[in-house]
Amino acid sequence: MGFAPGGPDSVLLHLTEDEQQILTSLLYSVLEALAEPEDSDGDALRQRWFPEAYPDDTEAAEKFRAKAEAGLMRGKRTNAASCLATLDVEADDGTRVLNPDEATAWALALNDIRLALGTRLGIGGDDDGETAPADADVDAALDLYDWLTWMQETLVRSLP
Amino acid sequence: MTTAPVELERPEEDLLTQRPWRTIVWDDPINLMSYVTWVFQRHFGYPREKAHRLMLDVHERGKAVVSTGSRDDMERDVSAMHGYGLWATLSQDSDG
Repeated sequence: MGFAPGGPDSVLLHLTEDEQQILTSLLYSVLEALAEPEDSDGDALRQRWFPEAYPDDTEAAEKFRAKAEAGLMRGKRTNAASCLATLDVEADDGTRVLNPDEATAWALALNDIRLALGTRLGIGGDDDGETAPADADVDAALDLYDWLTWMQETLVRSLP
Repeated sequence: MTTAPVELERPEEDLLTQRPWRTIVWDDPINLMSYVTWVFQRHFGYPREKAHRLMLDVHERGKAVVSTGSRDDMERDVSAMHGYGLWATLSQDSDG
């Protein structure tokens, strides 16, 4: 399963029924997170999706955010919607042929999903790995994160 | 031929903006090395080797200057990097 080169102008996406459902649900989660009101400004995901452009200049950072954030949100929504559209078509044997724009949308949307999940799991933070308490939900989320990482690797290798 | 001191009439901002701005990409634990290389190739049009070297700088040194130029251009680059999910900031060269 995963992505594979399809030719000079295409990428193949192979998915089982289960994988398709998981990705559909994750893409809708991205759209929901983007629709959340501005008052969640302080949350870690928002800071990771929309980083400070001027870390030492609050005023310039705010001006930049005012200019850039709407466009960034629109881009994320468009990518997620484009991916959902590719999942919506009937696929023989679970294989879909993506054009370059669709493949690019997948690369960015998978990254948005991994940023969201990785931020929630504290990937790379002080408390990940061995010190994390054993928890079936966390284990499942880590498995999902690893699978998404693998998916993105196969996609980047397959991009025309 | 006269040499009028036109420079003195420029607003201070213009002189300041002549010092180049830099787009800096910072290391983070989530973005994949292969993906970051692809982003540098795709957005900046850098050859694969240069994109790969910049990615390694980000990964091993914690950050890399990926482009320099006017403030407006660097804001566009930073915004584009954010669009790809990379952690990017801009700052002005302190030593011109």
